[in-house]
Amino acid sequence: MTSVVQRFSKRTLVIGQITLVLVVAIAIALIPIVDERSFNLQRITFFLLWYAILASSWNMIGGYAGQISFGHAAFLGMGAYATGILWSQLKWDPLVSIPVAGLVAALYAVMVGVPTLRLRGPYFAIATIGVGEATRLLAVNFDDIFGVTLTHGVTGLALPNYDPVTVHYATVLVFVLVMLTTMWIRAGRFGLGLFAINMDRDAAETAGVPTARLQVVALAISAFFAASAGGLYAARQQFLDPASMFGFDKSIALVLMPVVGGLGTVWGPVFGAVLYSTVQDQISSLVRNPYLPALIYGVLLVVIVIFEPLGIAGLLGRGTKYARALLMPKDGEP
Amino acid sequence: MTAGEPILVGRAVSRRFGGLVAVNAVDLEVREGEIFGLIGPNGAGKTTLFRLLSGVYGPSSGSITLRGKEIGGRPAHAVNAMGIATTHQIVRPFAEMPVEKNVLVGVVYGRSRLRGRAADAEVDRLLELTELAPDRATLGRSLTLARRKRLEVARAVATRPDVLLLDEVAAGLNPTESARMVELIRKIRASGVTIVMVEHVMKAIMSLSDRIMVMDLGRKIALGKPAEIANDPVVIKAYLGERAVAS
Repeated sequence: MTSVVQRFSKRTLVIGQITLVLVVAIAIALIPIVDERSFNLQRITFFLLWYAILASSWNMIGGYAGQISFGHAAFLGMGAYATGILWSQLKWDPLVSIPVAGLVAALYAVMVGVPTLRLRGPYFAIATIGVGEATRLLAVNFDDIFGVTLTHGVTGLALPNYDPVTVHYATVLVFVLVMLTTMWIRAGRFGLGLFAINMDRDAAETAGVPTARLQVVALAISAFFAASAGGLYAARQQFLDPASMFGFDKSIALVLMPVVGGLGTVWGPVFGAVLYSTVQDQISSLVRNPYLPALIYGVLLVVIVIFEPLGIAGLLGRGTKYARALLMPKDGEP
Repeated sequence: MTAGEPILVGRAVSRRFGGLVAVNAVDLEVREGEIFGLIGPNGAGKTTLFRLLSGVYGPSSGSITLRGKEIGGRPAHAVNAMGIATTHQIVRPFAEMPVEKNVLVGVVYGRSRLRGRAADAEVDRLLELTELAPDRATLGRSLTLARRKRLEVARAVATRPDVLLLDEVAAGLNPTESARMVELIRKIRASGVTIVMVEHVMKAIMSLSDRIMVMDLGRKIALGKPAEIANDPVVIKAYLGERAVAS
């Protein structure tokens, strides 16, 4: 048997993957306990996990099923605003509002997914740009359209204070959940179907794969987690504005992280998120030029994609066979 | 082999693309357990008819039933779930998946309802049947044409169809490979699967088919046993022209 993955049993790989997630999660969860005043480190790790959650959620539909969404900020923003509104208007604790917001976004994903996922390749991508922009404009003009005061339009939505340490733990929890979900999808029947769609939708369909249903479900799960990330942001930052939550630049960032990290792999989006948030946060604080981080990121993106189509996961996976099997199993393999 | 009851029945099936009538009021009746051949010159509408039978296209008019249940207009995966599987004329393996995963897709999404180890065991069985076991870890894109054709068959059979549609699975193969494909088709029929096949390789279709239907310009022009078809003036005319019949 020549296949690399076959040399390690599926069980060993699953245990390895889960251990890796738990080690990362526990290490980050310990930060506020070890040092209560580690505010800066808490902020850095929050955004690290936050981007990892977003990138992994995008990867479920973009990386696995190959349906490139340029409008994922719609789900992020919807989750943020739904959490913010439930919390400020109905006084629902964010820990309750976040999953509710996730479900709202998942429902929205089904609504927009049923018509758009019939489109293929570039047509789907273009349609998602439309969905993203339409959703942003809805958030901006919501109050005027419906004659209520909910989103406060371009002024933004200020929210009551909330304990950042609670948000820290909630973020760790959502990160663990998104990682377990993305592994579960990839290892099983669902993921196999998504990869089949990715490679040849018509052939998948005639082999019995209900392609429309699988894609809509994947988009809904993806939207749920993207919206949860939005909710976490609302609880931590306590201020939302449409430009930053629904912005097209956010949608682009969500595409680029998994691409740089390793499209369709479990860990690629996490690596991409680490790189993105490092460049974004650390380099921004080192240099004064506001455009330099974007430039550095752009150069890195081009270089990585030229040398390794599977991104950072692919580069790291070259090290050892086990690392390869763990980090970048071939498409459709566990 | 004695053919059984009609299993796949088309009544006045038509498919139009704009002004072009690709399939024009075709009646067909495939009987359980038989190998039903479909031939005709290029552009006769064979592949379009196949796509109607497999649910890739819906018919513009007419009805297609499998064991009395209407399949016309249902999506392809639902038609597959009812018991019709198809191969693709232009082979379409999942390029970045190893052969075994290609077949696994058919097993876990087909009618077998097998999961886990039982599904893996079924993949092993199918790879043995189609002689693809040595290539199980090879990616779909790295296979030779002959093996891609076998993979098409393996993936379709994996869904446990009652009726298997084979679209030119012997085309482009050398005589040895073609003979092995004929053997494989016999084995699949022997396992109880009804087969409808489109083929340009006359040796293959003449030796395999119980009955052959001939199409030309979207219409059915003849139906009969291979020997009858080979001597039918209408068929000769469609293939070779008027003068060939006269001489």
